Amino acid sequence: MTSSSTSPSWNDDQVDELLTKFYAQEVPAELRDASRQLDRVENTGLHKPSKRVWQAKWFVTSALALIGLPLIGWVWWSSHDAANEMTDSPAVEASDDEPTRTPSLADDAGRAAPVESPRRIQPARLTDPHMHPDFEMPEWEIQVFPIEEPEPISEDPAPAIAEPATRRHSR
Amino acid sequence: MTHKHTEYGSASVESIYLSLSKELWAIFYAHCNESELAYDAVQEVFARLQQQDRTTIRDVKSWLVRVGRNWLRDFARHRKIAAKSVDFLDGTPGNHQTASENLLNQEQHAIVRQALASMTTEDRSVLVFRYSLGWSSQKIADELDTTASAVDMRLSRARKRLRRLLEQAGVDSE
Repeated sequence: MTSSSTSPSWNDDQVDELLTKFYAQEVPAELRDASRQLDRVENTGLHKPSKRVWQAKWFVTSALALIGLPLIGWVWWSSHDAANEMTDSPAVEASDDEPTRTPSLADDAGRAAPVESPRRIQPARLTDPHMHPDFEMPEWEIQVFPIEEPEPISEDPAPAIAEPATRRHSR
Repeated sequence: MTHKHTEYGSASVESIYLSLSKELWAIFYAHCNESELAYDAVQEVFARLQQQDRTTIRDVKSWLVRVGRNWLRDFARHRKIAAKSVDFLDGTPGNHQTASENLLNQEQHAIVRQALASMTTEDRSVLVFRYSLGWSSQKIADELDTTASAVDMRLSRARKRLRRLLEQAGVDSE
């Protein structure tokens, strides 16, 4: 090695070589041996899984695919079929719990024209449906009660002093 | 990488040592810039792995790196060598080198050490992965969670710094 004041400049290849040599010196000998041992193991194929292991893996994967795919198809088909049955079935009949009404004159008069069915007022849901999904509020109907007229207050004030009770004379 | 990590889950400590010891040494070396200390850290982490319940470790390599870095940090704190000087680093190279591998002389070796000491851990990591492990820029980028172009830039900057130091010291390239 020579040192001089006018040393030639280093190019990238020379710096690369210098660094490669530097790190080759820095690596402890035990680790170099470990690297060589690992290379030897990998080259001899001991590190790789054997052919029998690959065959077993392939067999298990094929079996899972053979069992799983029809199962997934059956589950999908059954769920799809159930969904179709739900959509084909008629809607909930609303007239089951309709109150029976006696025919009236107004009904007779309006029979020619289409008559709207009596509206049922849906109650507001007071509870959170997410909190109580099974809870159903009963349907309410408006019932009109006659308003009772208040009784007129008598103008005559009650006597302040009660009349004395009649004395019963005993013998 | 992920494939390797899953393999390490059931692998023996010996096979993990064969696979990872040099890579771990490179990581620790970039961290502490001392070959022997980095090797001590490698031995320490594998000794701890031997005692550790393996079922509690999800990613063996990450666990080893974390334990080694913590060990180096504790070592630096206790021995008060966190701030390393160039004089401290400018020691003789390891005793493990053979005569045929002793291709650098003391002057070149010291200058490379000086250049490495003035770099950041990330720059040293890039250098040690490239020149010690022979990794590609993309593999280094994956390891350091950065891009290949950033790795190339760090490499170029590190080479330039080293070249400047060599020329300032008047070291011959011949």
